[in-house]
Amino acid sequence: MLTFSLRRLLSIPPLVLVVSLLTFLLLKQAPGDFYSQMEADPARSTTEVLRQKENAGLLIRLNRSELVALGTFSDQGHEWKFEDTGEYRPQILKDGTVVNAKEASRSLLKFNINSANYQCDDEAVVYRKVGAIEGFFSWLVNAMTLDFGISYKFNRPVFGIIKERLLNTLTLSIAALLIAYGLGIPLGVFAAVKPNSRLDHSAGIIAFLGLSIPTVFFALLAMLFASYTGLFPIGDMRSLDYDTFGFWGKISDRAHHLILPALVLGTSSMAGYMRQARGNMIEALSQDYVRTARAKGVSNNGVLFKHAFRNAVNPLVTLFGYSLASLLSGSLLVEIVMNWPGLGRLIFEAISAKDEPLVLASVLISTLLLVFGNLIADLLLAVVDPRVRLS
Amino acid sequence: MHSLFRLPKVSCQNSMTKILQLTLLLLLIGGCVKQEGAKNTESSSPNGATETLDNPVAKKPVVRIRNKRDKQPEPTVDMNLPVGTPTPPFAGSLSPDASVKNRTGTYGGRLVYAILGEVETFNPVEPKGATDQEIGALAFSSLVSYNNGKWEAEPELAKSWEISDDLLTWTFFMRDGIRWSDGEVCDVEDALFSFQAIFHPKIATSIKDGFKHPITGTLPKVSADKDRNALVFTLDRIDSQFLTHVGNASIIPEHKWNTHLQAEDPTLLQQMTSNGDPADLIGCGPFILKQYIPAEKIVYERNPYYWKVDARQQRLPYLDQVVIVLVKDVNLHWQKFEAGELDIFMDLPADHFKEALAMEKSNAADLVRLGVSLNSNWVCFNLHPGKDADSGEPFVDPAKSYWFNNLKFRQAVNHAIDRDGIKRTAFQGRATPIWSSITPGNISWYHNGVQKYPHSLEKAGALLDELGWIDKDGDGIREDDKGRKISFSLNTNVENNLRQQVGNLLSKNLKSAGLDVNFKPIIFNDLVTSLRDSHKWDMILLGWGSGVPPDPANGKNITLSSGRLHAWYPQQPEPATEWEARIDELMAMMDGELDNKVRKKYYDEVQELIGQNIPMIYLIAANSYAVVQKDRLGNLWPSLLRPMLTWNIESLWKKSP
Repeated sequence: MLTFSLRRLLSIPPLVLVVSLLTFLLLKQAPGDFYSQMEADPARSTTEVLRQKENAGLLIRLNRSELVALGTFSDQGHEWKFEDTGEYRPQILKDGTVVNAKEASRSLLKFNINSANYQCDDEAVVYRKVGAIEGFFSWLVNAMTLDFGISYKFNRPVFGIIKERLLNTLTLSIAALLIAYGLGIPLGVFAAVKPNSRLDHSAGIIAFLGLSIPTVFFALLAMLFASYTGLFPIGDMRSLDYDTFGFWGKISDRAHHLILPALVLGTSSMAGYMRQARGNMIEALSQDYVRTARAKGVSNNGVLFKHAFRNAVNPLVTLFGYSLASLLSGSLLVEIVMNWPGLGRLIFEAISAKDEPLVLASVLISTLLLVFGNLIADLLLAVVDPRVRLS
Repeated sequence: MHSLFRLPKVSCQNSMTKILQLTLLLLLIGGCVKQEGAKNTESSSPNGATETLDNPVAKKPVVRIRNKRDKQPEPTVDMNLPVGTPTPPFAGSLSPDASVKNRTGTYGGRLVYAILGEVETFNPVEPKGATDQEIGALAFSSLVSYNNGKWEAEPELAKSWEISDDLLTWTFFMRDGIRWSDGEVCDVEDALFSFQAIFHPKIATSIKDGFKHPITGTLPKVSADKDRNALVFTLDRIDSQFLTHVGNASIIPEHKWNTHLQAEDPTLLQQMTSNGDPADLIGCGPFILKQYIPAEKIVYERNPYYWKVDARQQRLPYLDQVVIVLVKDVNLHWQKFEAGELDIFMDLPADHFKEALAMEKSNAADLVRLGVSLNSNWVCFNLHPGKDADSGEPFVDPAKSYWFNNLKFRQAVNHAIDRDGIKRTAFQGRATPIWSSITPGNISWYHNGVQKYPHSLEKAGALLDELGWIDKDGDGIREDDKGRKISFSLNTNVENNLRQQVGNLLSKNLKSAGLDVNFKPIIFNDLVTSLRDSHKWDMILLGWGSGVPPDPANGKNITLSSGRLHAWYPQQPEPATEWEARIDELMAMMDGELDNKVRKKYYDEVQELIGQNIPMIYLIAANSYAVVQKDRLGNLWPSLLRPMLTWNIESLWKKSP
């Protein structure tokens, strides 16, 4: 089992490398970047946007000697040259005559020399655009030292931001997972014990509802329910006066807020587990060893739980491993509709705004969770089922 | 595994019918709710009449002019209101220079409202967007502020200012005895420090850009006159917008930050990030940050040292707390308001208008009619003459360029657009056709003399016939004089539903004029990239917002031929046409002229030039609404300018805490 785990662990670094490279390239491939929104704002100057991009590491500022080293180049039919006269700003020559920076940046906002892209702002500061591969490697080098960069949007280290949201999302998804497993498996088992009974049919209805109603729609219905009956809070994780409550007040407030989102999220995944449990159980119950057990006079409960259930549970253990991976991202829609301050919402915003460091960090976390979830599932399976050997 | 679906057939059908019944029931409930809302709207009162559909018979373009504007009165003063007790109480002595507001109110209570999205930074030196700036104004003050109710600048931390005769030296006299929220004295040193921070070469902030000389990029010289407690600016040009630029700059405490403004690598900005550590946000605003929980809420508490008093010499602000709820989903935002959790709702989206009207009818809330929004929607053709540096291909297909650059073609397109139809269909009648970037809502800058192009397919057809661009093969689409089918694409951003509706209507309009438009909404980033970098687009539909104050000088990035957002041909090396050169000249003249009447004359000419040459076709501006819970807030003075209801937050008071 140890060698198995070690082998699995060793496969993580290459996997993470490939996943982050793909994520990075996909992000770069899509048009625009985080600053596109800023560039479309008339109140923002080019200088500011470029300076922000430099701080984010998307552009590299050329120093004086590099600027002079550009030499004479042509752009849209004019010859340009930067000269260092020892003053605060370099001198810009257009076709041999000196022009001021504002004038020059009209033409030189974008230019390229030998397929490298440059940008010049109206303070005669010249930047070189960082290419996708180059950007990835500088990110990788920093990541090696556990520096995963600073979010473009929030200007703070990404893991600090993720940490703030992590616990909220875990609370929600673990509660949902408990509902899904806690209700799904018993219901499935009982439905299987008495197939075509009333319990089985009503469980079937619930399952179909859960599978067919989209989570968003369900969440919206829940919010409408909350707003019409006033029984539950309309979204949020805790009330505005949370801080004034006592210890038990805080707990009951959180529980009150948790019920609806956890139910919405839990019931939609419960259906799957229930159907899975029912199917496995029916199959297990039709096996020869069950007949043998019954024939030899084992009690009904003994047959069900000692023999059939233990065999039926294996696929559910595997499913559990996968559900670990979706712990962080599975609640995205519920988080948005019900204003739950979780990680899914953060990642979604990060992706749509193209906040690259934040996206990369969250993809990394999800990948690791998936790998570890699978590992845990495999190990659990070995514990549950003595036939499975890990070597 | 296959046992999963081994359900007997009968039971399967049974459960399916049950599900069907259930779903139908759900749909019915949904339908009932909607119908109820609709019924409420139909029983219209004289007030509601403006919101119901207009007569669908096409009319001449009528522009709602300012006298019909829904005017918001200034709040009145009631000396008999109970005073109440402020918790937390005020601290320190009152400044002799305290600014007096002609208001009365009762202490206590908290204001709860929500904003969509997330605060990016609390740092007032480098605000990232309008929301950050509005939230920053709760905790920080500047020398000059803008009165959204009166549409004029007024003294804030500076009690007065004077301008030298050559209009190049501005002196701002600071109030004496003002204190920071930590009790330290705020004086001219702090003001000087704040401007040194903003002017610092290594600090990139849009606040700095306004101060820059438009050609040389130099910044004004700033110095402190300690004897007079005054801040003196020496400019190298006349700048009509100087007060606005000064008003944008929040004053930050020197005693807190002076070690963080190094010459080489200032750490000021890193220190003031969105961590929202209340200890880092010492300001002179009416409130101080008490708590920030990302994605949940921001809590502000009264600044005990605030320096404004009311008509009864009671210190401001009245509110004990301001709670800003952070919401991601616009529907949830509305539901929270409808359930009474929020006190105010600004920028009412069209989707929730009927519900808001219903709330007004049932006397649960007041629907505030703010008039025509300052945000314009427009379409524009790509007039870029340039070529792609790599491939040598022109950005715009020569045939398309030939059509787009033809003024008669653009006039025809303008005539073909049915603005009233767009108003009726997409905006349910709650909008106004516009002919310039300045909407009728902008009472200071609106110009009625801009050329209008009323909807007339005959006129559009006549103009195109005149060019010889006629439908020769009878497929309903015109060909130009060289026999090319007139077909081009129209893009807008897919994120905006309303804009997509407008785009669909537009392409129908143009098709009935014989122009084949292929409407394709794309993602915003894509749109911006093609607008700015690749220049590969034919026609786009977008909108401009407006800043505060709503002065056209803020739109230089759009109007000037060198502008980054000069949409039809951005960043021209030289003005491409004579009229664009004239616009550049007029904009420069506006900068050098302090008299707003003269400035308006200049800008009227700019609007007329754009109206005649139609580089952009302005379409429509929506009406703007806000909603307020009934009898909850006193001293509200709603304004069309953002933040519509909270700009005078220091004098708002809670009627039923």
